[in-house]
Amino acid sequence: MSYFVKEQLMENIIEVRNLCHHYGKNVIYEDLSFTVGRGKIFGLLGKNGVGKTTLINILMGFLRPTSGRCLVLGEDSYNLSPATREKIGLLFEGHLAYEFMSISQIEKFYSSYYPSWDRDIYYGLVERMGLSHNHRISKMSCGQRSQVVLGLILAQNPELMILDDYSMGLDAGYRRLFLDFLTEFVKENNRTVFVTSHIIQDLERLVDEVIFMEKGGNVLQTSLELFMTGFRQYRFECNEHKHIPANNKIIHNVDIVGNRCSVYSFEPLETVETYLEESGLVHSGLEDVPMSLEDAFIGLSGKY
Amino acid sequence: MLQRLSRYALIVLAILVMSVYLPMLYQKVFVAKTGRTHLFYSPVIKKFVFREIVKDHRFLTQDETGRDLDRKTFETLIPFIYYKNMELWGLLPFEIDGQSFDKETIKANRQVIELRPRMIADRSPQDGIYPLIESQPDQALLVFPEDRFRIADRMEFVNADNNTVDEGLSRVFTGAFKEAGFKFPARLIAGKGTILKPFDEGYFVVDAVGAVFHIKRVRGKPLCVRTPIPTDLGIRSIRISENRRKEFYGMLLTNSGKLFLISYDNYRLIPLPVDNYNPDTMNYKLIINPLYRTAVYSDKTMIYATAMTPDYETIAGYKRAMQASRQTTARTFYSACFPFSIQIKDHTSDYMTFDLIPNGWKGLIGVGLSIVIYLLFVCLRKHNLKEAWPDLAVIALSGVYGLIAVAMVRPDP
Amino acid sequence: MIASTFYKEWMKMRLYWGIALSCHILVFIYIYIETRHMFILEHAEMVWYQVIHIHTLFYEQIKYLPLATGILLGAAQFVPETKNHRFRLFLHLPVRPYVLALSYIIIGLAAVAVICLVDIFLLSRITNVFFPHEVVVRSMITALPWLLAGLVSFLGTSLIVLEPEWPRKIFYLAVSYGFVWLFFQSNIPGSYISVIGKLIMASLFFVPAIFLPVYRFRNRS
Repeated sequence: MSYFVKEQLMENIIEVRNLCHHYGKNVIYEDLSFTVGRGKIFGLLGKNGVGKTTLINILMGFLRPTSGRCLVLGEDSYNLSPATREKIGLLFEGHLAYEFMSISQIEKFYSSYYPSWDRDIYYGLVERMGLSHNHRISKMSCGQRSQVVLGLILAQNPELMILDDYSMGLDAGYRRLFLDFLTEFVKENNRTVFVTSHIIQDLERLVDEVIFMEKGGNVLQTSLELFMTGFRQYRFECNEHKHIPANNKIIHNVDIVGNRCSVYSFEPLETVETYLEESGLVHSGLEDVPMSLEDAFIGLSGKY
Repeated sequence: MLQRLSRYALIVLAILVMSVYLPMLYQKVFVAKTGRTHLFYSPVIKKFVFREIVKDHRFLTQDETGRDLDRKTFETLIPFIYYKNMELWGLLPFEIDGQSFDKETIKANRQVIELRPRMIADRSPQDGIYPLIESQPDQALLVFPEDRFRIADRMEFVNADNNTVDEGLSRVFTGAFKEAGFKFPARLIAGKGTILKPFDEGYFVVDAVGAVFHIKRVRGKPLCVRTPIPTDLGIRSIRISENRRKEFYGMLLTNSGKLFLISYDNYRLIPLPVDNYNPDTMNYKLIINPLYRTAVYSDKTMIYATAMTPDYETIAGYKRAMQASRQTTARTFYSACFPFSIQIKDHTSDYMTFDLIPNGWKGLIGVGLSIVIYLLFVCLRKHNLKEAWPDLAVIALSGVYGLIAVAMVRPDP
Repeated sequence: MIASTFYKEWMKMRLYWGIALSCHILVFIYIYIETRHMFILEHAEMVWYQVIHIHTLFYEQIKYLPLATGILLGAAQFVPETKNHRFRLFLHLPVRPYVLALSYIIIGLAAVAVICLVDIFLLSRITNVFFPHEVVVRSMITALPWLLAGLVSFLGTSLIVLEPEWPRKIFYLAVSYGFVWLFFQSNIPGSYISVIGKLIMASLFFVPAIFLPVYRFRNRS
């Protein structure tokens, strides 16, 4: 492999190529491919059941894919060397931690494994809680524990962070704190973050790029900005409960509530208007409605 | 590589455990334990008679010519054994060869001494420290001393009351040994360390060069005699058994499997018949009655007997394959099913064992069947045959154990 | 890194280790009192007769204690590692998982072994007060399989707790239980001297066996 190509590969922090995974006869995805480049925050979005958890487990190295490749920092994700694992920070669903240790004990434990450990970052975050350093993690609330876990990951100073459902069990205050610290850290250190969450409005503040997963392995990967400007919701009124054409190149999804219809599309207003007229649909008041990321997500993937 | 090693380590453990317990379980459920044959020399008909357990608690009672005997006849043919029944039936006193025998005569001239494999010195953990009982107490019963002795580079007595060495006593007895020519340390110490016996004959001790010494405690003082027993016998074990008849002190077994009685006549060794005798697997019983001496020894399959005169001259011999040992369906199936078993206990020894016992060529049937089952499984599941060969090798070596182990600890994809 | 591994394992186990050690010591205190009482009730040579000739075990109370300790410490060490998918924390540490697993096992075995050594020491000291050294030696030989059972039960428990799937757990339980039971087949003092070497060698197979559940956890599909 030439030096140039290798460099290029290394700039892809995560590289998923033709990934297939089955559970017995149940096919989760076939031919899933995407890449995650350095220095950005990526959000993985998708409805329940499309295989997000499976993908996260594969990325984190706890599941071996049926076929295809998943490379993290240039190595197969299920067989990472200790040197590579040192550069990856993982946050597990539920903020898993060694709860039998205290605030100071767990820091002391982890610091010995990571040469670029920065304890100031850890204590900078953790001391905000105002708890004694001998406070046991098992005696903390969900939110407090999440702070400890985040602190440990940030202190590790990893090149890549994979955060699986960081928002689970956290109230708005803790979620906001988490996001603030994370964005600050990523900006300062040019780190890469791969994140999932069920609270989509949080991701809107956080991510640079989005990866939408659909069932079977189809993926839409784009920058958040491009997506939010390119994907639109158009609303109109229509009394005919005729079948409105959808799932084609123009109209991605349709949502009908009473006589109010919403269609979602990547095309500009004019193109959609023309298309509706050509379909012979009687409608009025077609307008472009601004969306949040959550709205766009539902528009892209449907409510059910 | 490491995970393969790990998997095979687990498989080995599973095979080990199964080869201990599965045969044990099988035997408990399917193989009935049968009793031993009782064989005697009848002084009445001058023939061997026996009672053998066959299936379902039934007895086969015959003489050596195959003539069937009913229970009462059998017992009257060996009157010295069943003399109490004879008395009940009003058949005492009785006459044999012109001699009359009543109850007192019979009791005074009966003795049985036995050497079981467990009693052999190297087949059980030895105490190492022994009571030297006062052989001439000033009372009717024997009494335990307050001390125990050991013989290392000297004879040492340890007092139980304070758990310390009694220097005085140790010196006196060591001196007696040295005077008799004993060379320390002792190779073997043999005696009966119990007060449940008619009198005490102390201990027979073999010294470092093989000489046999007889030691007793007489009114607190040592009596140490160097016996004329040859030093080059290669003594393996001595069993002392005090008996009022005072014909012999006990039995002596050599490394080459020869067995002797140590007689009271200046420790003269009387050789006993030992054709086909294996001391490690067979019980040896010497049955003494007023007219004859009978040596009977057996293991699980064969029983041998030799009848002798009171001077230990052989008169007749007999051997028999016991019915109880005959091959049954259950036993055949056992051998076919389990290519080997790991035996952890042996009734012939107090020591634990951990020995692999092969079950003979019949085990290959089970191995073959296990291989076939495994190959069927591989073909049905369309696994790669080339990758299956290590497991196949395991099954070829261990049969059903390997098959179960390999099935329970399947390789991960 | 070695120090922090030891430190973390100690965190998990220290309470249970302390409880186990205390139990062992208390039982030995009881054995001492009981044995002393035997000598008050009867003549010393009668007690010696019972112990030396009849093979009465005056220390039988400790028979299953190391076994229970092994199970307790195995659970104390590995249940916190595996419950609620927490084993991922272990697998993500930047150390080869087999090396880490081996170091955990060594630490756990050492913890059990220390208690076993305390047992041997107390048994020999107490026996030495009341009995001649032949009994001291024989009691140590008799207790040895029970102590080994403690080490093996620790390894078996670790194996069972680390295994992610239930059918296998049950199989490992059967194998471990069957193996450990080999150490309790005879009460005749000194009878295990003939096989202790073979049993130790066979027990060593448990050490590489531990790696399989680690691997299986990591590579589930």
